[in-house]
Amino acid sequence: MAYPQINYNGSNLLLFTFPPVNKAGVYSREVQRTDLISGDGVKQSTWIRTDKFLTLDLAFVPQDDLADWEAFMDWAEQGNPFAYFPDRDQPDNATFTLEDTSWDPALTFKGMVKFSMKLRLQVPDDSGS
Amino acid sequence: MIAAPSNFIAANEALARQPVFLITIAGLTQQFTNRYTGVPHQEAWLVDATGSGMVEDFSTTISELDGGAELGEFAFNVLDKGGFITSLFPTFVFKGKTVSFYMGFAGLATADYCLLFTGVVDHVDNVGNNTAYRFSCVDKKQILNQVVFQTGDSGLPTDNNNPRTVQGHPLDILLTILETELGLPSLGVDEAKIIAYRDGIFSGTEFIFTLTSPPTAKDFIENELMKPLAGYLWTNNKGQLSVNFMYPLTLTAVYDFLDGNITESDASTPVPQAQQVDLVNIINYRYDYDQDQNKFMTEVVQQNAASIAKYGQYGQQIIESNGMRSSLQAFFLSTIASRMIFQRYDGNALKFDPLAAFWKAVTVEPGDIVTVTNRLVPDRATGLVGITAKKFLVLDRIWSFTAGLVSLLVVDASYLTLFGFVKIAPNGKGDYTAVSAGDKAAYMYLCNDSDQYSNGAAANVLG
Repeated sequence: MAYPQINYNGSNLLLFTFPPVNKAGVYSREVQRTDLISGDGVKQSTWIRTDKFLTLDLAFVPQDDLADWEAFMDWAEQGNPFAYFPDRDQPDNATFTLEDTSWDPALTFKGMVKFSMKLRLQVPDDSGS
Repeated sequence: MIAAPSNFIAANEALARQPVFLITIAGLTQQFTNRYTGVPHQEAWLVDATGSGMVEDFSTTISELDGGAELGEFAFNVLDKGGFITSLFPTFVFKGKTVSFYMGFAGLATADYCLLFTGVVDHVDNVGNNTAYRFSCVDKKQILNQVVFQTGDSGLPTDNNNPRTVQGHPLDILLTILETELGLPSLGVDEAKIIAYRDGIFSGTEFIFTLTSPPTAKDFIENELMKPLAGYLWTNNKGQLSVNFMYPLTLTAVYDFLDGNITESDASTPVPQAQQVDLVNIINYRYDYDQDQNKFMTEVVQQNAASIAKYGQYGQQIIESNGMRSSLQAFFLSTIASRMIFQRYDGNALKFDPLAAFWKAVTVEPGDIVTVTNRLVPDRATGLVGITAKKFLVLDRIWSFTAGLVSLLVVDASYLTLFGFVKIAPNGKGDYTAVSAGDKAAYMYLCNDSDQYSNGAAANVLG
């Protein structure tokens, strides 16, 4: 299995030197829903939407890669979409936007930094106007 | 009660729902929703840009004793997707455009959505760091700020030397103001309800006014037409100006509030907090206004003697009517209205403010009669804890769309079970057993001391 890559802003590629760690294998969810409970315990739920997220725990990012990461962050931090391929040799991918509003790489040991990123799964834009 | 499509009512029974909000603006092709519907030109651009919800809470407040009602601001927020809303401003005027707000559920056809609000755009503000627009809408009652009866009987502008005489049934006068003086289309007026009251409980009523200055429509309607008859003017979901009176058109409850559909309010408890209505046991009615002496020539003090004997005089109301005349049943009208007010505001009667309920109650309107059952509510009138199918009348209402919560102000209406809707039989009607079923239900007939007709049927109660 190959490591991930991100496609952004046309033909730009961000290749992961090391894969993210602590992968759960499914998206995390944040649900906007209001529950009301009646006097005898009946529950009414009003569901507005469910937001899905992918958190990339990048424990090993070579400092030599940071220039590429900064170029990607210049694009993503504006809210622009990008495609994340968990396996760059496979076609499966999903489109995300960056949920974080800060990015803070930290040195772990010489030549290596770590950071995490929270990605929001993009909902298709079906508007016509 | 709001007349909702049957498919909406069926879908609204579900306890897990995915609401769809649909907003249309007259003259604009695009319609705004909160989720993708697949319908052309319906854009999922409603957004919570202010923290108050995509569609903000909407309230209706009834001032029953003052003859009027106020609709709160209806506000919604739309994403300025790709600068689209901004691009409209040079050529499209939002202010004054009719806004219609519908609600449905995921999977429901648009035709089955329920119309909840009709009004006009008042102003449009930038919100969310200029990424969205907040549309603030009001009901069409703004038109009532105009003056009416501006032309005197002589054809000259109404003034002291050129008075305007307005004479007729007060509800015909209301229709004249709304449709002739203000130019509202008939579709903008709840004619059916107004006519039902005109030809029903208020049949034969007549007011006479001599106006020496043109009044504002709102003041005239509320003070001169509604208040003396214990009624109020309000705006329904269709944007129609309608009326409700303390004397109802029907006693049928439209909704039953039970343990299964009453929920938490701010008190965080699903038990409705029992409160008591205000006490009003004395009303000064003034009528027979004399233009030359500039004063009312008749003042009748209506009293709830039993209440005054128990509590003393409380909550005095003063109702002045320039149009009511002694020779035109003024005393009878003031007695009926006072009786309704005394029974509504007897001090002991129950009130819930709020009665918080599931969204199934969204079709309940001000003026509706509902029932409430709860084993933990104390009833001072009976001295018991617990009420079962007790009748209440709906006044104020708040819709919280995102939470799916309906909050109502309801007051005890159990005294209405003593009221009937039959009339005195006209000349020529036959004996009770000989007339049609329709006549049996519509008119009074002679009964025995046990309140029974000659065939043993229970006698009707006079309306």
